[in-house]
Amino acid sequence: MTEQELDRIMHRVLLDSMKAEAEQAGEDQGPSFEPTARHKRQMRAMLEDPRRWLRRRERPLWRRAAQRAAVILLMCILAFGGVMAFSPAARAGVIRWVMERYGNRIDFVYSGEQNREALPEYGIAELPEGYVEKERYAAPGNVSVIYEDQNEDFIYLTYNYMHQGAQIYFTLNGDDVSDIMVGQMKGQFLESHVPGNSNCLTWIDEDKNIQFILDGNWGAVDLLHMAESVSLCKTPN
Amino acid sequence: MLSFFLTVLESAADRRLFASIYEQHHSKMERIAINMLKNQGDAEDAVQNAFMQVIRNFEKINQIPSEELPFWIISIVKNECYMILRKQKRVVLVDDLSLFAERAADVPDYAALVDLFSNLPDTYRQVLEMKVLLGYTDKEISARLGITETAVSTRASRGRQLLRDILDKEGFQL
Repeated sequence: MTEQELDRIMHRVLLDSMKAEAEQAGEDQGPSFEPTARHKRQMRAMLEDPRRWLRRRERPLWRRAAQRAAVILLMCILAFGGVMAFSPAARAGVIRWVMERYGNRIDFVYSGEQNREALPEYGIAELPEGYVEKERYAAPGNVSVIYEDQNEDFIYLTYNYMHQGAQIYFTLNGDDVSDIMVGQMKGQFLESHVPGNSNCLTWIDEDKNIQFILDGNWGAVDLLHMAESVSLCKTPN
Repeated sequence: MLSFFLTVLESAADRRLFASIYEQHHSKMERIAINMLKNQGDAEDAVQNAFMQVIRNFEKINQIPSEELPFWIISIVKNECYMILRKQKRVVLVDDLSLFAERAADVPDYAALVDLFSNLPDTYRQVLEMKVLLGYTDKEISARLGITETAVSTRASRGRQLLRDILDKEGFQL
């Protein structure tokens, strides 16, 4: 008997054994499958657009959230201990940032003494109905918080210390950028015109030396309301 | 991989075919998953993971004879159930084929052969189904079952040898 013949018979035997097993499974009186609302939603989304559903399910949650951003947000938090251009005396206590816009990009470039302390835990106090905090990632100098509702719509809050050696930049995709005030703090609203993409609000708390970014499928009024409710949940130990 | 995803399930015809596969098979998949896992949440995960596999391998669908498709899909959902059981450490894979080698001597015909393979230890069945029916590579099987590629290869080879011994036996009726 050749290898090919053996493979062909193996194929047939396995199929027939599965057939017998499937027939048996149909007769078994086990627990019944009662789909939850979440499963039904997943199946509807899958049937509507299988490829999109697959891509969404394959991504880790933080990437799924980030993918929905109105802008492509890239953060370059450089390692602590970067080169300092100032003398220790000159840089002490100085906190500065510059926003530069050119082409399809906005850069926030920081200077000032590096902050090695852990960031406090901030959160959105007034979330839209149905949203809950799903995940929180804390890295040195940067924290990201993902909120999700039952439809897997995301709101993404990230914040970081502004200090020498770190910068943030936004790549715009035809977004409108307008100045906005979050309480007494200066900020920018980045409005996407790409269907399905979310909008973004960023503001700077100079007192705390922190830049906040809030991203979600919400308009300026709602995002502003959420931004104004961002408050301390927990201080670092 | 990205280019692959961009080409599958793009056309309306593909989506209709996918919807039809869902309609025909989802009930059976759900029944198998709940029977194996005994937990609604786990069963839903298994079914969803199985559909992810169906989408990933959608190009193969057209190459599978329609009469084989239900079993191809059953095999996928079973494997996803085993993956979940393995992660939860609710399944212990037995790696002993010696009993079956003894039983092989008493297999007189094709029906008994099918019965024997139906009762193979899961670790062998899974390897053989993934390799022979689903066309997974040893590396993919190794990752999914959490065993080494050498172990995958050994199981596949022993399974084939078992079949060969039976088929070569004098008086066996295929």
